[in-house]
Amino acid sequence: MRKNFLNRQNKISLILIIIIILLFLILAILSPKLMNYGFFLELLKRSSEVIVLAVGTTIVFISGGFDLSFGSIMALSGALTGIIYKIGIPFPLAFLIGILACIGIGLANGFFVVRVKLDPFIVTLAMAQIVRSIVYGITSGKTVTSFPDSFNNISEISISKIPVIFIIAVFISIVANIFMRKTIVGRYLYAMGGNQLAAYCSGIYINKLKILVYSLSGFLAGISGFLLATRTNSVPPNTGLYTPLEVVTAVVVGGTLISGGDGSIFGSFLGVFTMILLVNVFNILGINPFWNLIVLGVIMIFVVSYESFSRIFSFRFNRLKIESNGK
Amino acid sequence: MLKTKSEISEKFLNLFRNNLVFLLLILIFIIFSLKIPGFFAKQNFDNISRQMTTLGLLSTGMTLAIIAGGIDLSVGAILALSITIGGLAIKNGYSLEIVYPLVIISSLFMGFINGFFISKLKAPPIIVTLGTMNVFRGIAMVITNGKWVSPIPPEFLIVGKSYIPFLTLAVVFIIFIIINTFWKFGRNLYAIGGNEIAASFSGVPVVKYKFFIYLISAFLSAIAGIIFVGRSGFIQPQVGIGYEMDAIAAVVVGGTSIWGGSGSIARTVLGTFFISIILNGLTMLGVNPYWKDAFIGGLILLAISIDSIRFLSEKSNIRI
Repeated sequence: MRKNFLNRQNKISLILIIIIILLFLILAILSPKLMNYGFFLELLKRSSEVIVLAVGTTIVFISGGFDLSFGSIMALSGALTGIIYKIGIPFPLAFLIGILACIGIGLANGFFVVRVKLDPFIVTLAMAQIVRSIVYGITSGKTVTSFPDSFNNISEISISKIPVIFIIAVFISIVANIFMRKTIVGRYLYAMGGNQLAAYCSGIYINKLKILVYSLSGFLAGISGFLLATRTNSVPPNTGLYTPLEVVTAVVVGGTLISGGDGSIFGSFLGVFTMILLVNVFNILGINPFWNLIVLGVIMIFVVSYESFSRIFSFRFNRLKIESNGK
Repeated sequence: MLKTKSEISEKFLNLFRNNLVFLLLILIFIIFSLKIPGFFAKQNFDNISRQMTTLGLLSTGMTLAIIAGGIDLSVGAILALSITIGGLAIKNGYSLEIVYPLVIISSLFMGFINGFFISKLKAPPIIVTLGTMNVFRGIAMVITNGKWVSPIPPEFLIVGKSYIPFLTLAVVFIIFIIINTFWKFGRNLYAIGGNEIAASFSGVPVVKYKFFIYLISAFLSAIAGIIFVGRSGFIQPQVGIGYEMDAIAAVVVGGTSIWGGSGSIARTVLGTFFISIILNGLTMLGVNPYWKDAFIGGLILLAISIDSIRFLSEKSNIRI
């Protein structure tokens, strides 16, 4: 038990918590007048949609898959719902159609990965482009703003001073955390990401699980799109164009391996906060917002290369150790 | 030996299956030529040949990467960043002899970064190039503040005139077909793409060759950028968004397997022709440009699905 406390996941979480505290200190020193309730409220609201996306992405990564299409799916859910609602269909039905469309895209991803046996990278990359193009097509490139007031006001509601959309995001991540840690299916997903062939041979129905994972990712991307729509009251067609970079960076910083089999929802949760605080520090310093792209990209490349390099290095090192022990 | 009837029909069936995408594209081509009045006009072919240059150069580099089992998503961003660096040099009054080498050298540096992370640190190519795509695009936006560099001196427009772009493309295609078919480097790419560990044990300098691939890809992107500037007469940091998908489409439609280890530049030449003709036809039919990306994405999915199904039916082993 004692030995297990400082395992890889906990170490990463500890480091991230320290980084988050440091970033808060930097923010407090840079602009003390910012440290008020309104700023925190905005921070929590801003992070809620990214948290939901990160939950879906973490589950996909843990199961050994990959999803790049969530940025476009996020745009689709809001845009499609807004447009259907404008035609005159009641909002709950429009909402349902929007969510179903997102699950449908996720199912299509799963179909191509499972039945056609395609590489998830290239499938979701192509799917992202197709969905983005559909969003531009159905909105004719215009921003969708036709949402009912009751929907727009959801982001204003707070329960004991915590915005309700953040509570939704936290609820989803807690449920996902329990799902991944305590349920059989969740453990199967870890097993599948660790060694797919071994999981298949031990009787895990990996094809069904993969389809489940991709449709879950689509569903969560849809939810996240709605959270964004209620926060900003509008869905421009380029919504979430750079979100994949932000979310993937947050997830890999949170300790989830891109090759699958290891990671945690809690780590991704902390990763999202780190990224958002970092972006906020840049905004406050008044740096050109495109620096975000550069910094996030650099962090992502370095974390992923460090993971793969250290894995190869430790593999070689262990082999050397085994060989020298043998002699 | 006499061939039986079933053998011949099987061979025909295989030929049909191997070139299904091509058959579909020929069908589209016929539809275009019937529907569009000026499709065969000389003016239109000039247009296609000039538009084809950028796509062809990018997809040549992409083919090398895909054959070796990698991918390069950063080609569009490298194009944008190298020409914006050139644009800043133009703004500061440097002449052609300095700007062009600067563009090439900066692109080689970007290719070096890709190659370093992919070959030395063994990071997955798709993640690395996805990251560098955003990083390079971000740098291009930051150094220009998102503004255009518009008055381009006339000497930079020469490369976009008349047949120079098409000739460049033809020369590049011929050089790379020769490299791909006869050179050790070109042949070893198949070994790397087929089984990297086996290739490295058989004495293929895998790390060095993977480095070369991304350097070449970046170099060709810079050439494409220079020609693009010559053709369009402006430099803009947003240029080239989505070019990587067009290039992937040209490669996989040509029949290069996305899993690496098979395909060729010659196939990509055909793929490039078809993609450019189709893009041109869609524009001439008056299809809303917003749907163009969906078409390209769908084409990629279709081509790799057919490839995968063919693979699955050929080898009945389990690929989970």
